[in-house]
Amino acid sequence: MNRDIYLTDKTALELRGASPEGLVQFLDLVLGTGITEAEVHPFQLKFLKDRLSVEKLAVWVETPAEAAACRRMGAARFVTNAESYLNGIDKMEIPDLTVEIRANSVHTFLTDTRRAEQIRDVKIRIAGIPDVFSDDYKDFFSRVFELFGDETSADFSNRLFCATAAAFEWIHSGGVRICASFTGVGHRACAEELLAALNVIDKTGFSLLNMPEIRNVYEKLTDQKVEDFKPVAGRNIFAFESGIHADGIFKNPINYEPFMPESVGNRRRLVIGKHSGRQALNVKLSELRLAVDKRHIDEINDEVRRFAIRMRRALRDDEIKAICENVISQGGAYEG
Amino acid sequence: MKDKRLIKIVDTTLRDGEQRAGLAFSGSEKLACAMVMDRMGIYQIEAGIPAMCREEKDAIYEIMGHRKNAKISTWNRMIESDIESSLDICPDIIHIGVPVSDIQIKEKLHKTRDYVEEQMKKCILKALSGGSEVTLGFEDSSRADMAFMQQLAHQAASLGIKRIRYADTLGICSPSKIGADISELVRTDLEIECHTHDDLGMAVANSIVAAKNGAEFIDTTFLGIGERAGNCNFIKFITGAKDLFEFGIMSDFINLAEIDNEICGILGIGRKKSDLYERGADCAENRGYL
Repeated sequence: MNRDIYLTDKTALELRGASPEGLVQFLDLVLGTGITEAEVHPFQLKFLKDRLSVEKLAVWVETPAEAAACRRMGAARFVTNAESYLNGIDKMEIPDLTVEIRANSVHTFLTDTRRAEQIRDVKIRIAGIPDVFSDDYKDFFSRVFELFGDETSADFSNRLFCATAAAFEWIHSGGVRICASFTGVGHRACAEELLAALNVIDKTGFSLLNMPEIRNVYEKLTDQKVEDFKPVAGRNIFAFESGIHADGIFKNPINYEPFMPESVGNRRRLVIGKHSGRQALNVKLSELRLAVDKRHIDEINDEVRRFAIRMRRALRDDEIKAICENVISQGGAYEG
Repeated sequence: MKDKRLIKIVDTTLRDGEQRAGLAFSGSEKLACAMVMDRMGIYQIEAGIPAMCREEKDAIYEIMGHRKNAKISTWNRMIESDIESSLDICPDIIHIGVPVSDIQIKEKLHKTRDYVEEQMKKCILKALSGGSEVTLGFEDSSRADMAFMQQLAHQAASLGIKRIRYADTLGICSPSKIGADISELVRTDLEIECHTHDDLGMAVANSIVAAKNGAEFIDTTFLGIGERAGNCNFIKFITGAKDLFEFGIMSDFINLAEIDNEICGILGIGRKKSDLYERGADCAENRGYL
């Protein structure tokens, strides 16, 4: 993809209670991925402007007074909603201003020329649209660009679980400006999913190497754990167990990995459990430096499977060792 | 109001879902789970892989003995011995996974397209010999050559296959890509099933667009569990697509969140309990499902 994409991260807007130091650390990491700017509240701008480049910050304002205060702080970019814009902010001279129109108003602006005229000369962001895939989304995007211009940005709602896909298709339909947030917080497109999709499908060069740090800082800021199998950001997404997949990965990870684990700061991890086959078991035994006669492998494999079903989970390394020792030394099953 | 088209749900919680690293369902858990799915009207339950082990085969057989409505299918590699394991238990549907991308044919099978075509035919004929319906799964469809897939589809149709599964095995599809691919495959006149993975967070949208472009069957799992970041989440798909399609799910089970909780309780999985070496205390026995 040759176009530059202007990505706005809106995570900070959902982190009102975050500590200043933590928020600085988080946004510094997020901006390091190649995301263009972070959108913040005026009170956050106060401490962020001295720690991060103000060029990489956009501030959400709702009154002329807020806008004026942020302008005095040196804010470079502003975002507001349509109502606030028409209630006074339109009278201010703000060089870089985006006006956000919510989902239920987009249709009004698309069909009412008088309303459309009121916001003709500003950059527009359409926000809160949950569903683009029910109808002809390419036609809808085309009409939006035609009415509001190519600089229109979008902040899709994830209420119907399609926001990341909508954001991706928006870019593919010609959109250059898009909003997202880490893990999709605030019910919107998920930033790390969008960046990974652009990297995998369009071979862009966003850097997700610091995904573990971003995740860790986010978890500290929010006191909430990111799910272990969350796309792109999850700790365990490259853990593999099933025999068929393990076989394919051992031969060449390209068989089953959409992107390299290292590209998101992760690593591939072999898990031994119910679905493990002989080959995976051999690899694990080699990792554990256990020399096992191949006569015993089938029995060990059977014991591993029975243990996993009995305990309803994967096996830890010490449990695998114990099974091996029992099978080899006693010729019997490990009771565990 | 225009009638909504029926989309048949193929649940693969007990097969692809269980392949999430660290999960191990007992036969009794699988049975309890399948009964919930059967009662709620899920069209097809992909119950497991008989070739994996005796316990798995027994569990699937048990499910077949208790279900009332759902079709029970088994998943098989494109290997005669796998098919034989399925034939032993005579499921309603024998599903055969056929790697179709040049990457997997070369790197996983170490074979050629010709081999895949011949082996596919052998396995289809063997599977049909038992009287079960046979469906094919085109593994890694999203990286496969469409002309090759269509060629295989025509071959399969000539042998009596009526349905093929487009599998975005690596979860790398976008809605526009999958919409275009499904539209092409629909031209083979076979029924098209769509199986998506969520590696890029687009599984639900991809499944919706696939259905809009002619897929009649959509694969889902409860809680979206599956390999890596998982599969298309059943609840999310139903929620996202409910204004577009009917799913044949009984109205008694309209409270999808309750059903989701019930399944998760049976299987001992939850949104927070995802550590590989722990299982939720709420496994089937503890919840009194058995």
